[in-house]
Amino acid sequence: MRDLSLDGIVEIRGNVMLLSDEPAEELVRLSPRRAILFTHGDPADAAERIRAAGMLAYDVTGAYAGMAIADERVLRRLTDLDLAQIPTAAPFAHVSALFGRGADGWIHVYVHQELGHYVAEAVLDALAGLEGTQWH
Amino acid sequence: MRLDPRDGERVDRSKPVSFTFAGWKVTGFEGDTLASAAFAAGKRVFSRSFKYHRPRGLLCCSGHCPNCQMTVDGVPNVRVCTEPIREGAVVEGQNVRWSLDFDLMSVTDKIGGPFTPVGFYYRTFIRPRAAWPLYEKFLRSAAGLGKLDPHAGHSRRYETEHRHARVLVVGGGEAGRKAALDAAQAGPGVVLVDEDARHARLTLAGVEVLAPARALGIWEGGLVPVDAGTTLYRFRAEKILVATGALEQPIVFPGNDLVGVMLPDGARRLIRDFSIKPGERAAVIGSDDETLAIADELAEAGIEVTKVIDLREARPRELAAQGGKGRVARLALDGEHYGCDLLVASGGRQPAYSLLAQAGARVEYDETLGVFVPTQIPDGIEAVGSVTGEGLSKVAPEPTYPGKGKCFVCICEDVTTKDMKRAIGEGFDSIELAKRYTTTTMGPCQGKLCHLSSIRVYAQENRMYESAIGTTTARPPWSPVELGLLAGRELTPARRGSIHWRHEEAGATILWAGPWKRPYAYGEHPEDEVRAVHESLGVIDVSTLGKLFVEGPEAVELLERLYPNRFGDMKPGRIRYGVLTSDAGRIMDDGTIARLSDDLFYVTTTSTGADAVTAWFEWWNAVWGYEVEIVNVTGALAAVNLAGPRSRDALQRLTEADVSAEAFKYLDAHEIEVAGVPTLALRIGFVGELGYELHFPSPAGEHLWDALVAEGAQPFGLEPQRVLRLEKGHVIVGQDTDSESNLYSAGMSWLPKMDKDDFVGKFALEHFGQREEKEKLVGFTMEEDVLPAEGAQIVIEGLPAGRVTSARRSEAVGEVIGLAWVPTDRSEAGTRVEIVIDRLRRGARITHGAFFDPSGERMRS
Repeated sequence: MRDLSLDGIVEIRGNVMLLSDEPAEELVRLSPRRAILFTHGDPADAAERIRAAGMLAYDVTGAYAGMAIADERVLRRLTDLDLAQIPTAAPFAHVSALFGRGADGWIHVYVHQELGHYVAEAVLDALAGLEGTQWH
Repeated sequence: MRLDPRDGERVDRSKPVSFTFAGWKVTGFEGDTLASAAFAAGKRVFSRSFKYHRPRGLLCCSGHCPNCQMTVDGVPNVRVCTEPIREGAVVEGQNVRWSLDFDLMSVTDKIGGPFTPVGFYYRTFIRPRAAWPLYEKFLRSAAGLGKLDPHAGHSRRYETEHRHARVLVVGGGEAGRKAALDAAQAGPGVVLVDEDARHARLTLAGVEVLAPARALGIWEGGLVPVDAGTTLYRFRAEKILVATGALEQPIVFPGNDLVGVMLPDGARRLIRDFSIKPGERAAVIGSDDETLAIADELAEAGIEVTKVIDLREARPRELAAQGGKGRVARLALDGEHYGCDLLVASGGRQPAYSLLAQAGARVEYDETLGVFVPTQIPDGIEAVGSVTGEGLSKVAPEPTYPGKGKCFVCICEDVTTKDMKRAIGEGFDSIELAKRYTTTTMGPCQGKLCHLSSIRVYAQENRMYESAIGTTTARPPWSPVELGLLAGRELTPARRGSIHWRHEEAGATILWAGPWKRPYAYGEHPEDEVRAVHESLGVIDVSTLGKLFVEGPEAVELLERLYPNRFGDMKPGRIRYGVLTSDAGRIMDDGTIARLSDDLFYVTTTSTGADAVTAWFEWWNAVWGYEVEIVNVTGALAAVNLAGPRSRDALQRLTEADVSAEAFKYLDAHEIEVAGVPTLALRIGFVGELGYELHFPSPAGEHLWDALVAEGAQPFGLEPQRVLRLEKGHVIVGQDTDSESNLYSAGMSWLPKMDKDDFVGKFALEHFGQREEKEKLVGFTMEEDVLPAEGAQIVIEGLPAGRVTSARRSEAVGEVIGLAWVPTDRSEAGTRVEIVIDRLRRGARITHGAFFDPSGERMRS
């Protein structure tokens, strides 16, 4: 598991079907008028670029805690999502989450920042279960 | 009892394994089950029956029947016929008084029969009514299965795993394996599940095999939970292939439950898998070639076969198993007796259609086969192999055979043919009703071994055809499942703000506040924190507040229609307190609304209200279609409330912006930089002192918190905050209000702007405005220094008249203060009421307005 919480995150409102992600960015469309952009670059720059394109954009970098997870069995123990459907939004460990897939094949999971610690605990617990150990 | 080593046996005779069986040390071999090892060691009684405590021995050896349910290492109801042997295991009988071989409660079988017919507890134990708890305790103790230790901790770690498959094959018999291989030819994503542990090492090209694993049912949407011991797989598949085969059915004759009566497959498994002689002298009863073929196998294993009865040719006038001490010793057939310690009997095979029926297939009686078969199988599901009836030969045993002794239809629940007849005689004239009355098919086998028999008996007694009787509804789970497996891992989402760990480091007592983990106080004396806020400087983490941006050219229109308040007249940079009301005019939530620009508002909600308020806003805007975006930034922004007489000075030292009283007035909202962090500063005061609510990016939470503490701010927790807000008479929505409270009864009649065209709840508020409220929310002070509990009763003239919603001891006020709902005619300031505290009535006086700094000078200074 890798911590992605420092990645830039921009919430976008408007006709997001017109948008495409730039290099080092990943766009998750949640509806025709709402999307989340994950970026390794400066989220403020990304937000400005999108506002200039006529949409509303909010730098919500602190709003989400993110983690990259390599083991799909861990994910299957915490979500009923069909992993083939990624990128998408779905419940993860009983809370709402956004899913993406990194270039390295690892699955990226973003949850509301305030739930980050809890979700990290749940992932570590699931990992411990795979290893046949108790984490708590 | 072990035969010489045989080809195909599962046991490894070079690896002995020992365990304790009902207090006896038993040694078997690796590859044995607990039951096979115990049987090889001469053990014959594995359980006592549910009601009559009759001894029961191995019957199916397939994990279907209830006869070998035992408590293994403290876990009840383990079927030891499929439980692998393990060193040091402790296997104990259950539902037993004394021992498996001598159970004191078996007296029920000897003398209790006439007194314990089906449903006896409904009729016998009803008078006197007061004695029912005693009866219930006795009945629960005397009958049943294993016991759970209510004080036990987690015995195992259970997992839930969600799986998606293109094709899920249930059943690993010949047909299932072939179907799985065919499916794998078309592509990946094929999974086969089978309950037989022997299939654990099965390899099929392109197929993932899960064994031993039981499919528990087929739920809506094609969900198939699979019990794999300590992991519950929740499968969703594009296609489900059901290849569950057909199950051997017992024959209903007197003594059919005696120890030594076995199904052919049970005897076969003992011989083939474990090289065990199931008996010394055997009789065989069957109505199909497959059953009767067991006679040759028994003979080949060195067992003397004393009698073989082909029910297709014979119609016995008497057929009974007889013996002593609950064990079969002979077969009685038409006046003749045939000695045997093993009676292998089967009435043929019934397709195991239950999963298909759960999925919506019809189940119809097939006259040519004499069994029920699935028809009209729904889309996405396919049946293959003998579950369809394919390959089965006609079986038609009599529903019952005459003879002396108890004749069991359902061995799980100890239901006899006599019980069935009695139920029919009492008017339970449908199979569904009879099922509920007699509990036939409701035991651990879930009808696998008694459903067909009960229908045949029912048809016979009612003189109807089986096709007219039909089947009972098939419901999941198809097989018993551990509750722990269904419960899975316990996950309790906990929300923690970005400053949370600073609170932990400071030694705060952390408690649950709705879904949040929040500091209660930072020391033993919350009053010290209250004093710091009144006299100097305090800071509290309020990141839990809901925070929304409402932006767009029609933002004002949306907010004016959502809230009873007016917002169109607000200037950018100003704040207003707002209360959301439901369509019914009841108070839903409250918070502040800051206008940041003409088109941009910043809305805060209660800590537990963010998600509901966001949904409420979006739901209504979906109806109205205003050009507005609603963005929930609760997690993106942290927030702290800096409060106390020194708060202005402290803030000024951390910012270059002018925060003087003239430049930054009460209810102003300024975007400033604090300790280098871009911050939205709101000059509001929930705790009643000069104060600033600072909202800023949550990653900077700890940095800004540290900066404020370095300025001398005393962290204060929820408890001091509750005292401070109560001193001001500030309401907490959800604590001081409930689902019936409205703005008038809660003393906020100044808030709704009834001259607005419309807003959510206006119609109801107009109605409330025209009537006299029955009760009002008021303040009170106690006459003595005693603290009522929240929820304490208000008593007027000896009658309950209201309730306390909040109460605290206030050092600043010098009294115990609180808020309470009282009848409107008793809500005048100064009215005396009584409050029940520790069962005593204590006097209190009604007050209106704030208890502390009622003019709000400190807050506005």
